[in-house]
Amino acid sequence: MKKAPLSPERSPVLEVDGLEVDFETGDGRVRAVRGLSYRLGPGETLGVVGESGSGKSVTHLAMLGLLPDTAEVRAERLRFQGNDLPPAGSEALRRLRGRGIGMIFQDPMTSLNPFLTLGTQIAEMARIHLGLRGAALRETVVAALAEVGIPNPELRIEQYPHEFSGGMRQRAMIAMMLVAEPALLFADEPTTALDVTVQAQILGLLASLQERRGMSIVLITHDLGVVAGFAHRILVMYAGRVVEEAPTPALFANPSHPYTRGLLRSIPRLDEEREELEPIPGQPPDLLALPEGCPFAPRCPSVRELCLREEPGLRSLEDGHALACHVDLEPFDHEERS
Amino acid sequence: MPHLLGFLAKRLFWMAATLWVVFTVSFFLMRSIPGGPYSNERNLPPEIERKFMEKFGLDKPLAEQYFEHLSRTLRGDLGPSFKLADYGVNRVLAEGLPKSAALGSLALVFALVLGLVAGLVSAVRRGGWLDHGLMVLATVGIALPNFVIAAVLILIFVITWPVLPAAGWGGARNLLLPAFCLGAPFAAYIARLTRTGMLEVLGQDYIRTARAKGLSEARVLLVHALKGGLLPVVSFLGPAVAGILTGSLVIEKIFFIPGIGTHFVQSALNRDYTLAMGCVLLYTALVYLMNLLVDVCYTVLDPRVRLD
Repeated sequence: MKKAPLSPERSPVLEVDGLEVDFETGDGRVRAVRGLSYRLGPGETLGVVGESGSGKSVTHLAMLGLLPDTAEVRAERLRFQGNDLPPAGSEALRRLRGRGIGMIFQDPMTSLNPFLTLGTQIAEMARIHLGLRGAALRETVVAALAEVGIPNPELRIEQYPHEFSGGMRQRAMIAMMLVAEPALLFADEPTTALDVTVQAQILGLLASLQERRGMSIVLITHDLGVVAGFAHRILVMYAGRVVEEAPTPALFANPSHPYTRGLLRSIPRLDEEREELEPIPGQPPDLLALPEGCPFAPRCPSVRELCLREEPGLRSLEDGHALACHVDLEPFDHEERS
Repeated sequence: MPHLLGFLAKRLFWMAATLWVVFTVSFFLMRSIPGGPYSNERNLPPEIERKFMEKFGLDKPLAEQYFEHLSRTLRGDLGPSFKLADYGVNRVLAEGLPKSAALGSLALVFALVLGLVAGLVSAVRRGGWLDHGLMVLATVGIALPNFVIAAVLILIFVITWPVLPAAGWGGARNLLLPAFCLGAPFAAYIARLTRTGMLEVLGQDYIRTARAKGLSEARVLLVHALKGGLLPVVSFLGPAVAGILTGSLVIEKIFFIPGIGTHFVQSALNRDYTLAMGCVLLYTALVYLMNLLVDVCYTVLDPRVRLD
């Protein structure tokens, strides 16, 4: 586990307060994100964990103005490096994308343009954001591929995405998104589509690039195992809200929300002789019709009567640990997991 | 490059085989239809008709006629026209094709410019009034027969506001109205295909990536989306170009264009066996060559597609 470089006197890179995202659909209003807030320090890595539909991707697409027109985004405060984020659709936000905040995506097969060479796709970023031309442009593109560990970059820039393996494609995607040296990177499930061994390589690559450049990273994933060795702090999201937030060691030492505990129990472990994984029972909530009270209550093993009436707010525990749950659970037993 | 040459050689061989099959089927089909080149003209005395039949070898056994026609065709001579006295089929086609092709080329330019622009605008303004308006117009363009469009345009540009000649073969001004009429349904079809293709591509992950990179919307559209969005249009263009270059009976009749579109229909009705065969072979070869061109274009547009 890396030491968190977060120091209170340095101003945060990203400040999010009360972010809400709704989608207008034919069936009604989908409330995808409901009042999300967090701070991200320079050089810090934040892990955002949750299952599909928890709002973890939508949150970050919303900040970059990459959601479709059916989305409605509101926030009390959205600040990047001390300035308000420009509104979606504005020219100012467009210029910030890639230059100030980069974003990489889950499946590098479908996320890279199959009709253009990788050289073209990287070069256009360097040209637009850095104003490079000619030989300097070419040098920058080759150096970017070399930096992410792609062999023979001079030849590779002439090739198309389908001529790369999955891991190499994700490396190329990282090279492309970091060529303009953004201060912040949103990484949306960057390893989900990859083999486990390749996953580790990609995470290692991101970590070393982060160290070299001092950038901040938001790592969005459904897999607690991926953020465990990588993030300084973890945000667990459920039904568009933060249910638990803590520095990584504290979260793993004492997960306090029943949902977080469920996620931990559903990770397979090598040191146990178990035939079956332990899933969280039930389905993720229907965002079109959220129940009154806590949205996790229907699946919660520790549910109380109060949980069905009132949705819990986020309350602080010790050491930067915050929790949105009415129940104070017994300390987590790491040995006996059921 | 040797790869491309091998591919072309193979395709040209298959084109020859296709042409031979088409030749054979057409030959026997035409002769199995009742009537002959001279059976329509009632008052033709029998001995004169016999003389004609002898002159063109139509009195010989069918097999002999077939091999004679085939070997002559292989030597590049499509034979004499049975109906257009003193004209060989080669000459009829050689004189008409350039006119039809000139008209068709201009029609194609209209169709591509109008169709692509309308399709792109529709896709970008999806759901807006401009999109709805253009797509209604496109449906009208597909549904309206081009003689109706021709009549309306003649009324406007020749009679009410006389800026263009009504008909005839001459300068480029003579071609504007007929080319527009010929191209209108193609423009409408291309508009719809472009819109569908672009919408499909604009929903892809890599377009979101392009936006996340901070590219301008114009660059996202024209560099990242256009190539993929145009693939359906390219497929459609193969057979469409063959059709548009060989003219149209209706347009050539209305505007008095001496092209070959008329012969395609008239030769069959007249049982002008040799001229009909010439038209069929010409059309087959054009369709084949255009589809070949489409395949080559595909490999240029989409790097994942290879020849063969």
